[in-house]
Amino acid sequence: MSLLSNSRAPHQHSQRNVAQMMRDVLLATFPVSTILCWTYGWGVLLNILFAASCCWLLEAAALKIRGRRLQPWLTDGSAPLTGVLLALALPPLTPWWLIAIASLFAIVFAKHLYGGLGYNLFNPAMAGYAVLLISFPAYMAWWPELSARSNINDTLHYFLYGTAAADALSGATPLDAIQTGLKQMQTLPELLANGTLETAGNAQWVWINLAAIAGGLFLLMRRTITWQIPAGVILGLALSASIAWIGDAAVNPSPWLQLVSGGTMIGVFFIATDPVSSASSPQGKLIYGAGIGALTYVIRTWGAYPDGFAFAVLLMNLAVPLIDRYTRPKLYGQVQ
Amino acid sequence: MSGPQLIHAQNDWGLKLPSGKGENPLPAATEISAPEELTVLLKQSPGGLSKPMVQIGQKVFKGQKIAAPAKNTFGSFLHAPVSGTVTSIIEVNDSEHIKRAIILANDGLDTVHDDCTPISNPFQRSPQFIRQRIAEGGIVGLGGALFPTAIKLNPAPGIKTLLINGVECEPYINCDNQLLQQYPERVLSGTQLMLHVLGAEEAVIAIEQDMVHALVSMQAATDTLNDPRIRVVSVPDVYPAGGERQLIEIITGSQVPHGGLPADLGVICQNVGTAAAVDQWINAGEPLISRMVTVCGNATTASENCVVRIGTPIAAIISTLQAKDVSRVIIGGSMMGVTAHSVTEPISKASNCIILSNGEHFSPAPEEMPCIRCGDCVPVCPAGINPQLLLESMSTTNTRQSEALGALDCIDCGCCDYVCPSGIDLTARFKIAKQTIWEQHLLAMRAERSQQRFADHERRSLTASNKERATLDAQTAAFHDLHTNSKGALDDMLKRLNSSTPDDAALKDTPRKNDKADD
Ligand code: SF4
Ligand code: SF4
Repeated sequence: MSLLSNSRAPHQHSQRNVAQMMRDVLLATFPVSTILCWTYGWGVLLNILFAASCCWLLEAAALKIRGRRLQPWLTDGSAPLTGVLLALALPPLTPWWLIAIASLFAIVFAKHLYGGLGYNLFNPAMAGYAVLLISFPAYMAWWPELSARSNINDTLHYFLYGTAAADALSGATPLDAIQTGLKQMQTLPELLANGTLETAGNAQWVWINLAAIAGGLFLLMRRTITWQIPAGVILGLALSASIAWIGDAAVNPSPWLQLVSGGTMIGVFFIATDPVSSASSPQGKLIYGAGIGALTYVIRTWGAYPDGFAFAVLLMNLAVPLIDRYTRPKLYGQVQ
Repeated sequence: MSGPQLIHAQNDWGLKLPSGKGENPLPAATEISAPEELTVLLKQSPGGLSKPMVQIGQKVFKGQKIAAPAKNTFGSFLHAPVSGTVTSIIEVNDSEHIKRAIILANDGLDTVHDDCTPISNPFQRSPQFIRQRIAEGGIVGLGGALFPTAIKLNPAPGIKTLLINGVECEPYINCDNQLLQQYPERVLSGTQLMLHVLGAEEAVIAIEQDMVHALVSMQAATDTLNDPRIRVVSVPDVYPAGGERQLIEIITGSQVPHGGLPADLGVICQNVGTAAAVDQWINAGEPLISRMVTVCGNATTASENCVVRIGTPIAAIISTLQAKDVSRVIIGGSMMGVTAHSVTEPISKASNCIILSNGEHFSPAPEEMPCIRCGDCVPVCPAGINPQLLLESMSTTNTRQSEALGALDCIDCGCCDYVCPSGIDLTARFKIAKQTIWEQHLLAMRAERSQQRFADHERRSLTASNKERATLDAQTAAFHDLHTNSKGALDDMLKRLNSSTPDDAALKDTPRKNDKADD
């Protein structure tokens, strides 16, 4: 009787796999994508579909060029996920070529030039988005007015040509509104009272953030992500905001406002939790998250950009090797 | 005293694996009758080697010593599991399938050797005498490490607690559960004997929380015995809570210092099977010639515990139990078991479980992908390693980094592997890393020694350098043999090699000295 002997311990496995994790995250973005579409119209959906396909095709191309097998890489779901996360960061109306450029940077430069899945130093989606923020700040700051959402024709027109139809109105996100308002020496209570924040969709953004939280809870329940990074970001941001807010509530947005305006919760649960570019130990994750939170606050308050989440993530990506090094668990017996 | 006390763990490492041990009380174990031919391996554990004491053609009796521990290794006395004739002795490893072994033809009579007599009134005997007797019974740690029990019972000053490990946490393995349910009194009397040898104050019998029937029977037997020194506790069902150092951490709340021994905490740990074997030898006169083996897997209908003579080929078990379509055999549990190359491989003292599988994996790992740095492997590691960083460090040739990250502390438990979504065979890789590191240490040590020897040459007498060479050889052997073993076991062994007391030397030396046991 001959035996199969090609099995190594452990002979049992948890049955989790990378593709399943990526699918989970894709699934978890569903509520927040839906609410975003609901709020800002078809552009959001268009962005998501286009960015995901772009990233997926670029992944295939990059694998081909690098002489790699297409499987299992093409079905691991990581490339479309990068696309979706990128799209969630973009303004609802973004011309297609900008999305293509961002996808190119995300997949080819941030991911494959570093060696592909698992080896990238930076969060690919944020790397792609940052390129647009730096190179095309005007496009990135241009958010349509909330009421413009239902017009498919205008959306398509802008997507294809990058120019707005004559009657399209420019809006702002609450974070833009706050930054602009504060620059014009208005105080926060005034901005609240005169309806600036309301027009900028403050209430809608609360819903968007709640939807992101729902997706995040799903991921936590499935153990696709751990609690340390989200908790770290929330704590980091809320603490920094609280200190300033307690100091002067007139010019410093409350921690609550900081947490629910802009896509903060999308960042907390979907962007910061990217496993590859974050710290690996539980304590490391907490520190990494807190760093992102604090840096986001710093950039929002003193930076040139209304939302600093992308840059905060990229900066903390750089700190990961250091964090990993100083948060190594103690070996058994070394504790005393 | 009411039921066993539950010790709550303060650690968060490990895995919750379905063990399925709780539901029903186990039926009595099946006796597997001894086959016509037995293969008694001379090397039953990585650190132990035994030397034949018999010749080809010699007639032997059941329980007769047929091999003695080889010098400077942690081998044990081996006894004939049956009466019969020595048909061949294989002394070299000529292929991976044929190992160093003594082959016996069974005469079917089971004529018992004269040496196999119980010791009357063992508690009136000196601890040294009982310890020596335990060595002669070939008793070794049956939890899997096969470390000679007598050496471990060498009373160091300050041993307070004897920890009896009944935490059978690895899936599929059920033999200790059987012992605890069927023969609790054997475990208890073995425990008392070991307490006597050690002069320890107390014995703690630790059993996994979900081994409910084992807990009940053990508690009942303990209540009946009413020895105030012995108590039963239950520990959470987490894998690998039954690892020696992990169990000590759970029970005492502190970890064995890095590079130290359990004795540093005043604890000596022994497996329940070992305790029962001590009892069987001292009180019933049967040396370690059989053991409880769990036989299970999807190629056999019944998952049962069998009493099997050491040296029984797996094929004999398969035919006795009428298992069909066996195409993969795993010796051990599903997390740490090794795959057998052939059904001719025999049961050794270490074989606690045989999984007969029809070829389908239990649950195979997904196709390997690069590490995605998810960090899932970090909190589960009971050795406090960050497996992700260790894996990363192995991409360079600098082993110092891997060592600093704990490569030698890995206990091969497989927890990191189990959770890894990228399907990376971390455990197998860490074993290789360990091997590489030990080899480098060995080279460095050799170089240092030869330099030293050269420099000291004039001052040294021939005997001294011989002695030193012997120590070096022993260490070399230990390194080579143990490269796959855990750091803890290695440390144990090296320490003992370096500080071998006259007592140990007697144990390791030829069996002739045993007649002059200090009684
Ligand atoms: S196999 Fe080694 S590294 Fe992996 S969890 Fe077990 S002790 Fe830790
Ligand atoms: S579990 Fe696997 S993929 Fe995740 S960090 Fe550990 S080694 Fe990497």
